[in-house]
Amino acid sequence: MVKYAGEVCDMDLVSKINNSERSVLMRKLQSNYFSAYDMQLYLDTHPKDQKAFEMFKSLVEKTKQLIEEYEEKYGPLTAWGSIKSKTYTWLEEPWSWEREANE
Amino acid sequence: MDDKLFGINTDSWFSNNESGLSQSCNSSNQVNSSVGNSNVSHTAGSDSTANTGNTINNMTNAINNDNNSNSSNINNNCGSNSNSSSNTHSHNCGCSNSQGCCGVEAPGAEDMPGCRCVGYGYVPWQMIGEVYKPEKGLNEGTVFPELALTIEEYGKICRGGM
Repeated sequence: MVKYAGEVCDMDLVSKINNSERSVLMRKLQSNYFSAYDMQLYLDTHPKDQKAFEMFKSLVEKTKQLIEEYEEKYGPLTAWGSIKSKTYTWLEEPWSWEREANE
Repeated sequence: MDDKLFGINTDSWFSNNESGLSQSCNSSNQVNSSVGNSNVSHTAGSDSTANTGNTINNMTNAINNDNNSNSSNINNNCGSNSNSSSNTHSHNCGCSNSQGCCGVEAPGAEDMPGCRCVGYGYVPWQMIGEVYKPEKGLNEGTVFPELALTIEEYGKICRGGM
């Protein structure tokens, strides 16, 4: 397995945006999701690049972990995320993109 | 903190016969068996047109330009691969001009790498090296440092100005 040094979040950069635990976690999630997607685009044109695939797997796993963590703490990120709850919690505000969720 | 996530020596990735650099610059411009490898097959759907096939040849030439010191060999032989088993392809290319691979060379294209023929796009093949950490990648808009360029920088690099 490729060592994934990126598990250490660049907290200096994050803190310039906002400081709440929720928004820091969201930023970390967004970063990993973005990196995974960018690696996916690379793999679309380099499908047999095993090292890139290892990075991709690492990034996807990390992103999934972060989604789990976020939804456990702050509620679903998508409507489908609400299936972990006893009720349909998707309509409970604030949604993840609203200002109140990112201050 | 170092922004680079991975430091990978890419040389070794493309130094063997599995590198996907074998050439097949035949005059028919058809996609053929030599492009069914990891580095080019994605662009070559089974229903690819002749132009697609030629573009692939252009791209593989570009790879060779990046990976071989003997560029004259590339230009004169449709990008013959320096790897031991691939030279047989270089003699079957049907090159019709000094640049090989296709018909009419673009005027003033002497400084361009790879195939320099009218009507054919050229995109250098990306080979992964280091990548940014996720935070840095999101900030830059790409995890690949070689792609993190402003349009001004990009133009300068292409003209050899940086």
